[in-house]
Amino acid sequence: MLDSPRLAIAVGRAAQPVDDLHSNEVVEDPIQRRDLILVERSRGGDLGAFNDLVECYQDQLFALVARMVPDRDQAADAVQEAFFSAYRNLHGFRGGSVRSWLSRIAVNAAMDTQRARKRRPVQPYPELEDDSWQPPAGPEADPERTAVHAERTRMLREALTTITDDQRNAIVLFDVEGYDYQEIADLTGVSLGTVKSRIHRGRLALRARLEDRMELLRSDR
Amino acid sequence: MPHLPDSHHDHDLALVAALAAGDAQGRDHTRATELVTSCTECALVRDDLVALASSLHSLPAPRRTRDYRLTAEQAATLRPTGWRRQPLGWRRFLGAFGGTGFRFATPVGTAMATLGIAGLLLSAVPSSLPAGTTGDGTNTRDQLEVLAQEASGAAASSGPAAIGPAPQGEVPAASEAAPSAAASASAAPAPSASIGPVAGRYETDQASNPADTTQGGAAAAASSGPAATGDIAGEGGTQLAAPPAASTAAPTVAPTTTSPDRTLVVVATLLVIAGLGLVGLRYTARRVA
Repeated sequence: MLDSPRLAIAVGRAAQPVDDLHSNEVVEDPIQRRDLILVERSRGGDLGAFNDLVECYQDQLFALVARMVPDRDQAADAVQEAFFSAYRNLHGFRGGSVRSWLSRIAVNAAMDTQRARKRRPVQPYPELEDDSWQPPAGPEADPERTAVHAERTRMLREALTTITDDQRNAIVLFDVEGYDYQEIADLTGVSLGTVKSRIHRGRLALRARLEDRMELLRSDR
Repeated sequence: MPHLPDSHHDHDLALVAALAAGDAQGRDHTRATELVTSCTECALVRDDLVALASSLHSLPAPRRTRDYRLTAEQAATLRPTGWRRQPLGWRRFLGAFGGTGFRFATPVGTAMATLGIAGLLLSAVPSSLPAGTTGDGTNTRDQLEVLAQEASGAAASSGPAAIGPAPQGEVPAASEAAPSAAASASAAPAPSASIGPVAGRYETDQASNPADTTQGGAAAAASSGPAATGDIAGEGGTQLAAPPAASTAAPTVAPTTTSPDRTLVVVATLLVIAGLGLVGLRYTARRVA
């Protein structure tokens, strides 16, 4: 991805300073500079540049959306819709971080999916795919530790599906994705206090679901 | 130090959660710290929440199942067309109304349109009300009183003219009869042409005897209006312009009831237009943004 010839050309062209689309500040961060070049070329009709952008962020956005929407098919659809929306609205990008812009679109798509699911409840979220598979471990790996880690991941994911959508979104964005409170407030369109409250209550709800298995988490510390 | 509930079930776990997240400030921080130090279960909750946050942070990322790169066909269908190709400034202007800062537009617009529709309905109601009520809330009796006062006023003004040579001091006598003139409206269009001279004579007699006028009732006073006018006309006087009492009362009442209605209709229509405009602007801006 990062070593694709097209991307190398794009970054190579950026030897001269690249201005943020709507500010006079020179972008120093090479990742952001690369993203801005790709956006600019995509706006000019270069589909390859947009697909380079997709390659850069599709794993990250899928991980984000799949944690917010536990149904994998729906999550995949939401990510697809997010990239479609990003392509349609390339001219609406007003500078700043491309990653944040794409994340916001993906979070909106995930929340739309959650709302649609609430309107048409057909069945509870299906059992999550078994993501506990890990690459073959080296001889130094401890099998017991690997098994405990897999079990912990499974039960955390299950517990996340049982709390409310709002609490899950806040916890995924804060605890898993590492956004700060203000970013989450901007992404989800609620106040800072609401974000904090959802995170606190969500964690308490998770603990209540996992109360009899908390030993597994405590042992990790 | 504030008293803490004895039972753990009565402890505020939200405070403990805020403390675990590092968000507790000031008095909340003090209370949460007390809870954690004095209650072993609260301390356990705090430790569990910290462990949970740590475990969530190390949760492995789900594996992607699709490739999201766009094909040329998909790009062709997604490419902006038509009005989406408008100049950037115009789209940016609309985009400003599609943001979160303009979120209030839809509820406010809906409320304005609802008020406007309610106002339009209200302005249409008076025409369908029962006969005893009018548009401005007054009943028939009130209106009759207004008519009576109008009629008596007309009678008072026409009385001296009919009397002609009557002294100025007698005018109040005719106006004193007005309050009791409930039947003046019906009495006013009396066939004055035929009885005019008689009434005029009667009025002359009454005018010459003020004490009798006060007892005589307003019917005579009111009917004297047209009658006296006829009399004067017969004499070629200059009082022809004095209209019958009832006919002067009717047009003066009508404008006072229609004017507020018209204002209400205008305001309600403006509210509906403004409300729908706001909602439409917000909808369009969100589509464009």
